[in-house]
Amino acid sequence: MSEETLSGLGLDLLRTLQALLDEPHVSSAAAKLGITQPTMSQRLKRLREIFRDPLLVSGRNGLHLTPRALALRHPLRNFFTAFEAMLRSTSQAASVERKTNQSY
Amino acid sequence: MTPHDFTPASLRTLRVLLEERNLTRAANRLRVTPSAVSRILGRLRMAFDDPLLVRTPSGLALTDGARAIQPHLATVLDELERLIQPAATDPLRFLGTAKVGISGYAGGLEIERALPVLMKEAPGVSFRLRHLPAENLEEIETGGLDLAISLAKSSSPNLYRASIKTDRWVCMMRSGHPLAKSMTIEGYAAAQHLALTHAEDGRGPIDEVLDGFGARREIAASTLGSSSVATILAQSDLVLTLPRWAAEPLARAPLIMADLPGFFPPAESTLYWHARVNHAPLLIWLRRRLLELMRD
Repeated sequence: MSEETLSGLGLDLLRTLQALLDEPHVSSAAAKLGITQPTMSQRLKRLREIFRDPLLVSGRNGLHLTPRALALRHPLRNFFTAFEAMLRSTSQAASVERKTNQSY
Repeated sequence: MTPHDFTPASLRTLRVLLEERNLTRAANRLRVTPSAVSRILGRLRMAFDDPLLVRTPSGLALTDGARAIQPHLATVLDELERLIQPAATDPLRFLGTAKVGISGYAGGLEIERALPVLMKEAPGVSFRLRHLPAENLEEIETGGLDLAISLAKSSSPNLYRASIKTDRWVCMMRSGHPLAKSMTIEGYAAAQHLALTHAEDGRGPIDEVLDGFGARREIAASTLGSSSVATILAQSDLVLTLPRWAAEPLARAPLIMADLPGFFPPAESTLYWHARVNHAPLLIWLRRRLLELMRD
């Protein structure tokens, strides 16, 4: 995977991927993210390019996740756990700093 | 914070920047210009709502926030790396399950012979072979099977296909079977037939051809197991019609292979798979190997 395709994988795409993995339904995932259908289609197209896999395909009873998409579930959850821990760490540090400043 | 500020590239820049505490050195390590690093730092400062690096007399120093971020940043980047790792394409590294259905007529014995080869090439894969109860492809569409090998002709838009092989139909029976001496359409239709299907009426592809001749055969028994077929034929007057490639592995004493009377269009076996698994590396490999092993 080239750096170029990689750098395009921002948080918005990762959140879109997570929504689709939670519920393989394009319009409800779009609604959950608060984005329009065209934006959703665009993002799905980008995700398909980045992961070189269709991720979702239509089957008999609606959309199905591909094996590649299913395999992304765990690492994606781990990523968000680590990412949220990182964001929390800065706000904790900041509030400690503020308290320290106040007490002096 | 806007989501665009957190990309693998910007987070990687931050990691290097926090390690180097110097824009020029970080830029050199990242092989970008210092101004590009500076631009990313500016965006990250807003995203984290923290200056991250501040000027001191001895150069740049990490803020408390940046120090708090540092260990988490390593984990985030590791997880991101794991996420975007391309799926394994080396069969030795494949993990997972491959569910393959094969109809009795398409040649169960052949795939049983291919199995030890496939298991050696992809030791991490659990192969689940199953007889298709009829020439029925429904289970690939519903996800119960990943691949199917069948004589069926499907035009479902969700299915991909590759032809495996085409050959004539032959008739298997015990040596000394009366039919072997005079193979006529009438004699053939009147014989007791064994069918390799779980279809209720035992009908298969050959019955449609017989319909065209205005003939009809009686299915006396049906089974699915390919290895049991030789014993059944040897100990009865049953005859079994199947494609030549599926018959050949069984064609040794006391069984014989006879040509069918009249013109029967050849049998064609096809490998089918669903769009769902079209890009899955494990199944791309398995399709290629099955075609190679079964076309031989």
